[in-house]
Amino acid sequence: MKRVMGMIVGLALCCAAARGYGQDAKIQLDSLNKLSDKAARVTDVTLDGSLLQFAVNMIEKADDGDEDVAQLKSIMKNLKGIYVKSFEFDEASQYSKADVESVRSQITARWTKIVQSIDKRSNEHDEIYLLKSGSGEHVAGVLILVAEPKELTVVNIVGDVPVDKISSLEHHFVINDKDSDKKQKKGKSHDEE
Amino acid sequence: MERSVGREEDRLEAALSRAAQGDSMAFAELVREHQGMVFSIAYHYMQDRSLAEDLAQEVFLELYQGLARIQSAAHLTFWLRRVTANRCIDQGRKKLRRREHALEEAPEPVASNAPADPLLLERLQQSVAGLPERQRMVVILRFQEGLGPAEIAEALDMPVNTVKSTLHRSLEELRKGLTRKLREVRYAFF
Amino acid sequence: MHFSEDDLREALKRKDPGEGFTQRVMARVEQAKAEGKTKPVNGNGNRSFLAWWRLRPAWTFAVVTLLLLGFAWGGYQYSEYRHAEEMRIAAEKQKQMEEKQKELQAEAEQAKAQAILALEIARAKLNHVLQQAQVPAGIEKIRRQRL
Repeated sequence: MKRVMGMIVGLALCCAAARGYGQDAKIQLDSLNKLSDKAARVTDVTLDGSLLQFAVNMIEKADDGDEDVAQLKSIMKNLKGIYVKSFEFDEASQYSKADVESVRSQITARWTKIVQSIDKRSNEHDEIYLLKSGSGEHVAGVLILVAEPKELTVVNIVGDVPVDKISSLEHHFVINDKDSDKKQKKGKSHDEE
Repeated sequence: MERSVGREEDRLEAALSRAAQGDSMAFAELVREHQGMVFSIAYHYMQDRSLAEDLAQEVFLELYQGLARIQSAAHLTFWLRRVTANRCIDQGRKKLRRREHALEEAPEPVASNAPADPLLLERLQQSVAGLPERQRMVVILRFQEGLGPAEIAEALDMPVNTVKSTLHRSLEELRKGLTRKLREVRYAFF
Repeated sequence: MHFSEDDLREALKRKDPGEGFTQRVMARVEQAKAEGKTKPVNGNGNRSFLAWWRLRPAWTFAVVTLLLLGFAWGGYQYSEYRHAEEMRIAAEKQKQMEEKQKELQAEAEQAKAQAILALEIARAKLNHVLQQAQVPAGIEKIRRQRL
């Protein structure tokens, strides 16, 4: 009986830990929304829950014969959320350090900064963070932070992220210009869950 | 002739319809139309004017109460005959009244059988009144109303053959009865 | 004694009840009504109504036949109407389901496009950062992390 209780407690702790890791992987980006007013071009993507599942299902139905489609499928299958906030400004200094800090402050000790690039001449500061899973065997989250004078982009991907595959994605799957324009204008696609 | 009969029927049908809706004048018209028949059946059965009138009034009163059940002028005639006959027979059973004239009252018999002989007619009436109830009514319906055996059978709820045999027997009895009375009168005188 | 049937008919011919018989009958009817022994014939509307129809069997038959035909026709029309309604409702439901399906399909398409866009941006920015960092080894590092 004691042994069974111990196993149950251990399992609960693991679940809590896993949930904790899951929560760490998602970065809250809503504080950046105020920059939409100043930006000339905004890309805002929030894809998780059932909406992400829709996307995964649609991609799953696509033909495996295309190598890039196959790669896309392998990227998407274990993702839990994709969050993008990208603001392009006509003029420099339309966002502040505090805006960037609001993102950085959420990076806990579990995240690992794997790449950082600072260019003082162009006043550009780029970072890539990875969050390892509890077991350390795979990636639980990715955060890409690109801060340029006239652009601020944050990409947060939650789940088992095949970063190398994302990096090597060659094909543009956006169907046509009209679609890409629509998606790059001010607008949100939120998960309704 | 047929046209007048047709008009007559229409008039009676119309009167019946109005009477059924409560028109007293229409009902009175129906009474006038049939009072002779009803009264005569009762009178010839009972040989009593006042009793006959009472009975006739009761028949018409019953008619007034049951007008809704009368379906046509022909049905009305049938209904009146039937009810009058049954009432007469019922009344006769209750009172067991047979009027018999005393021999002294008997008028001088006349041998001839000329139809216009009032004494014969009277004797016949008395003889009919002396018949048993059912026989009496059969004779009245046959010779007063001119009904055939089938109609009489329907009115009195009797089999047709019974009506025929009853009629035959009744006439025999009437003849015997008249002959006996005459012999008695002759014997009394002589 | 012999008599003929004509003699009998003559003897039993109808007699008139006399003057005033009708009046006496009507008086008796009125008296009975007053005493409550008899109801006026038209006191009950149904009796006179029924009497009217009883006196006119042809009319009654015609009206009843028309009514029956009317009911039958009405019943048929109603069943046709019900059937048409059911078909209409089924068609509406089908249409709603199809529209819902289309909505879901559109939503899914949009989600797919969003996902692709996001990954495209991720790819672009990832490679941009790596390029800025001029660290080809960074990619190897990422690959090692993946493993």
